[in-house]
Amino acid sequence: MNLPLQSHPALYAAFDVYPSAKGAATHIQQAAQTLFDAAGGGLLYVLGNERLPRFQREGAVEILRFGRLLDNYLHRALAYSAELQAVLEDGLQDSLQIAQFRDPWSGIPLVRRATGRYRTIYEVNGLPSVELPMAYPKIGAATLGKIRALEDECLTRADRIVVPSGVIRDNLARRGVAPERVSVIPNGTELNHGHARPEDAPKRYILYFGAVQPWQGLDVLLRALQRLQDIPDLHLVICCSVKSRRAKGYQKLAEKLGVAERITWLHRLNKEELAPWVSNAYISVAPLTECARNIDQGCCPLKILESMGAGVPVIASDLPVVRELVEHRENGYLVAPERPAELARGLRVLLDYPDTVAQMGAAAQRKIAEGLQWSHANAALQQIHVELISGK
Amino acid sequence: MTKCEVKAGFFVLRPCEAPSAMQCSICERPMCLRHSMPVEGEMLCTECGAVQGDSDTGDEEYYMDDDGAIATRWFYSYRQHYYTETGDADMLTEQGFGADEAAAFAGAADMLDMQDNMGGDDDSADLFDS
Repeated sequence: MNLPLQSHPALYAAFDVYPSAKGAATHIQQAAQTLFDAAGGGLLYVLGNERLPRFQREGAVEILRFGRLLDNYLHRALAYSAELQAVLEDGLQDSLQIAQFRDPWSGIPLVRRATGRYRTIYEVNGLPSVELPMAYPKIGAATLGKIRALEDECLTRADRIVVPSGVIRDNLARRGVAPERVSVIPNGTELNHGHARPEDAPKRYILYFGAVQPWQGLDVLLRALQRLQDIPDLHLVICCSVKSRRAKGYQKLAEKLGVAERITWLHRLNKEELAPWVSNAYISVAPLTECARNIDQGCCPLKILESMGAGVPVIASDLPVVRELVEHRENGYLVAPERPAELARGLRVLLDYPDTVAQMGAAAQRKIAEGLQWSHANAALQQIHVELISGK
Repeated sequence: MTKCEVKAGFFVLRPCEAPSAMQCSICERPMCLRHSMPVEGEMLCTECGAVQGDSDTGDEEYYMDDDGAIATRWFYSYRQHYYTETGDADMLTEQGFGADEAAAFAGAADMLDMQDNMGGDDDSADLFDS
C-alpha cells in the first residue's frame, strides 16, 4: 500500500470513525493512548472519511484510516479487515508485541496471525451479531450465525477480554467464555464542575443527549412529556448527536403528541458545546428500552456517566446495565423501562423536590470521583497491558 | 462563499469546490449545479442520486458531468458501483459470505451513516456505539 509505516510495538484497531464526538471515539482515545503509553508507541487503525487524512504521524504514534467509500456495511467491514491483514503482512506483525481490538472485523486478521508473535485483547463493547439486526432487519439467520462464529473465534483466540459491564461478561459466559478470562472495566468520564449557563437555555430543563437509535427510548420520553403538560415552564432539551433529518421521526412524533413547543432541539454539538448544557440541566434522562442490545448484550452508557460526572442525577430505565451505575433514590432515579406513565411520574416527583435532586446530583458526582473516572479505567487497563507485554 | 462538497473525478476523487448553488436534500451538503440532479421531485447531489439506484424518474439526463458535458446518471452510478463492489467478491467468499447475503447490509440506515461521515463533522451516531 506504499505507506511509510514505522515498526510498532502496539496496535489498536477499531471499526469506528476516529476522531469524532461519539462515545465510541472517546473510548478509543482513552484506551489507545493507554496502550501506546504502556508499549512506547503504536499504530491506530480506524475508519476515516473524506475529510480525515488517510495517514497521520504524531511522534511514536501513527494513525492509519480506512477510507474507501463503501456504502454496504458488510463490504466495508470485510474490506477494512482485508486492509488490516495487508498491513500486518507488510511487516507490522513482526514488530508487534500487543494488539487490542473492538470488533471481529479488526479481530479476525489479528487473532489468526498472532500465533505466539504478539498478545491480543478483545475489548467487547457491543457485538455485531446482536446490534446489526436492529439496523438491517433483512439479515438472515445463517448470515448472523457466520458473524457470530467470527465473534466466537475472536473470543476464543484472544489472550484477554475486556468488557465495560457485568451484563456483557455474563452474556459472554453464556457463550462459553470463562469468566476468569474477562475483565470488567467500566467506561469512565471526567468530573465536570460546572459551566456558565448557555445563553439560550430555558430556566429549568430536563435533558436528553446522545444518539437516537431505537434502543435509546427517546419516544418513551416524548410520550412521558405529553403527560406533564400541566407543569408550567417545563422544557426538554434534546442534544442530538445526529443531523436533524435523522431525528425527523421523533420531531414528527413530538408534534403529534402536542409537545413540540416544549422541546429545544440541538444537533451535533461538540464536547465543549455540550458540556454547559449537561452541567446546567435540572435532571438528565436515559430512557433505555428493554431490548436484546440493552438486556442480553449489555452496555455502559456514557450519557449516564457524563451526567453523573457533572453532578446531574439521571432518571433512567431500571435495567441491570443501569443498576451497575445508578442506585435508586441515592444518586439517581430508576423507573420501569418503556412505560411513559412511569417515567412521567418519576419526573413529576423529581420536579417537585429540587433539594432531593441536588443531593442525588452530589452523590452521583461522588460516585464518579470515587471510581468511574477515565483515570480509573485506564489504570485497570494498563495493568493488563503491562502483564501481557511483560509476559511475552 | 460556500463551495460544492461533492467529489469530482473517478479514480482520483477530488473536491469540486465550485460555488454552491443549493443543498442536497439527503446529505445536506452544499452542491453546485453540475453536481445536482432532480430525483422524485427533490434536488440531490449526484452521489446521493446514484445511491437512489434505479428508481427511474425520467430526469437522468438532467445534469452535467465533470467536464461540463451533458451526462447521464450512469457515471455516478457506475462510480458508486466501482467503489462498492470492485474487488470485494473474494473477501466475501474468503470469510464465508455470499454476494446474496451482502445485499441485506445495504440500506438507508447504513448509507445515512456513511453520508454523515462524509459530511465531515464526524459526530454522527454510530449504530454500534457503546
